[in-house]
Amino acid sequence: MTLETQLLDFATSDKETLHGLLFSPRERKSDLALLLVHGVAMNFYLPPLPSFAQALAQQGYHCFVINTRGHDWINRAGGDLFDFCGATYEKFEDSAKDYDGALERLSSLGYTRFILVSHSLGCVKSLLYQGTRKRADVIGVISCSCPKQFYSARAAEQPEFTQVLEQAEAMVARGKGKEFLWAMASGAPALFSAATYVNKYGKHENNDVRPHAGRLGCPHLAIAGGAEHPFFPEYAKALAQASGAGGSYKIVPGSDHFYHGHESEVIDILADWLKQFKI
Amino acid sequence: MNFQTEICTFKTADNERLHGALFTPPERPADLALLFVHGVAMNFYLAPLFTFGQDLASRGFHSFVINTRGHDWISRAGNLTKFGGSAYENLEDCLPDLDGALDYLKKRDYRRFILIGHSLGAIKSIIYQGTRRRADIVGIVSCSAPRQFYSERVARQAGFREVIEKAEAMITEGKGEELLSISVGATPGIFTARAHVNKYGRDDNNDCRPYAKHLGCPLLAIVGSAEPKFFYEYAQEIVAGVGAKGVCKLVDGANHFYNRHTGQIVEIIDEWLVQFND
Repeated sequence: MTLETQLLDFATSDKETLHGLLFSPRERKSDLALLLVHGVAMNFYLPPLPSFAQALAQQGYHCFVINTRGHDWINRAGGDLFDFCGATYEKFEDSAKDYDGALERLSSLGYTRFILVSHSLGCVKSLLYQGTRKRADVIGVISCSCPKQFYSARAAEQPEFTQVLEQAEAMVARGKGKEFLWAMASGAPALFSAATYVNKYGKHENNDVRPHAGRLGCPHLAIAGGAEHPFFPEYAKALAQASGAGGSYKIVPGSDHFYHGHESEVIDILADWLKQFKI
Repeated sequence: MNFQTEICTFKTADNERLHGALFTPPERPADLALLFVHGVAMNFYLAPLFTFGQDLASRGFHSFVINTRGHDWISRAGNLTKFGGSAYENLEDCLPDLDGALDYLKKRDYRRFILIGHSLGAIKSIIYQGTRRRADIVGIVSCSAPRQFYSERVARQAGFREVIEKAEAMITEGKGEELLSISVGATPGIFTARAHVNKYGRDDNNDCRPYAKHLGCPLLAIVGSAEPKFFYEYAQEIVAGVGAKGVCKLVDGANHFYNRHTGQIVEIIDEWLVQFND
């Protein structure tokens, strides 16, 4: 199938301009679009999501892989590009505006039904988004390796976590919320502003998306790699259970967090699940 | 003219994986490709270069707008658990980055290349060709190359000397990888102490005037009249270094990012490119 690739921008209600790649099969028009959302400090062109999008577009699905404002660690932001954003600075609640902007852009192109397909932190964002907005035009959600990263889970898993969070809270209390803090995220060093660290991983546990999974109002597929930390497959199962009758999960044996070498298995799983929706 | 968009990945000799958008007009095969190099902390999909690439592709030019490893302020690099971006890159990294991009284009059967750099990307383009002196690079377009080397900035910017001294002291103390918030002109920026000294330090190694003498190809310098005066002065000095093959154009009212003037600049570049038609 011949694909058309377009690099599009879209605006959020608070005037951020974000970008994404739309893959559309020329010979198959559709009112259904998949919206693919990256993980922490990733972006629209890094693996695994663009490979998934291209492969699914070959099967007839129109796919829009986007940047959220949390793309890369620190990017240029604001209308004049003089501000800073990226994963270091973004707040969870901002992501709703990013999704609204992307879906509005797709609507302006004639799409009327949407499926959210996300990876890693993008899954938390998608479940928060649809669990809150409950949009009737979002007809499905796919979570690829959703991390169990809320406070109580991380405090139990990572001995240094509570100490780093206390440090971040103290910095915020001293008015130093914009200062940098190095911490671990998904097993690797990461850079956050203190305010963002508290926002994303704080005691409020607002990023525990199990309650949101129960409010999606649409089918939900959760995927995890068999070679990831055990909490990923456990959480995939928990999220599928929380989603009720519309929930299901699949574990990809031997696969790591980025599905290196297992991309085709994941694409098969996605394509198989997507068959329930008319293209 | 219609053109196709392809997101491409290329590798550098030191195994960085970089990306770019290749715009190809299918009705007009060519052996000439334009290679666009962004400025500090920018990337392949931001204006003005992305717009230039698309507009020139619609006029028949095959255009590859790339990321260098200095894309965004801080990005994922290496195996994606490392840190890269403008905050971490050294100026000399532009050599493997542009080598990688040109190797990729050669594999796609392009044989002649024109480098089009904006801001720091203009400096990189001139340093690259002044160093490599490639016969297959047939032209360079330098859009708003900044006069940002040490001796110039010390004279112009209050506090600049002290910032460099601080960064140097951090390197001496083994803290070269620590981050500093430092402005670049009017823009706030983030650099490791090491990258800041590398890019803006006392060695003046980002003064591209000496390299301009060794390009061996035509150069078009473009500057906006709404930019600080030193941009135009520097463009004229670069063009003087190039000699008879150098041309300088001042775009009335344009700022550093050419907001609302991109059409005018595309027109200037398009006219200049006529000399490379087969």
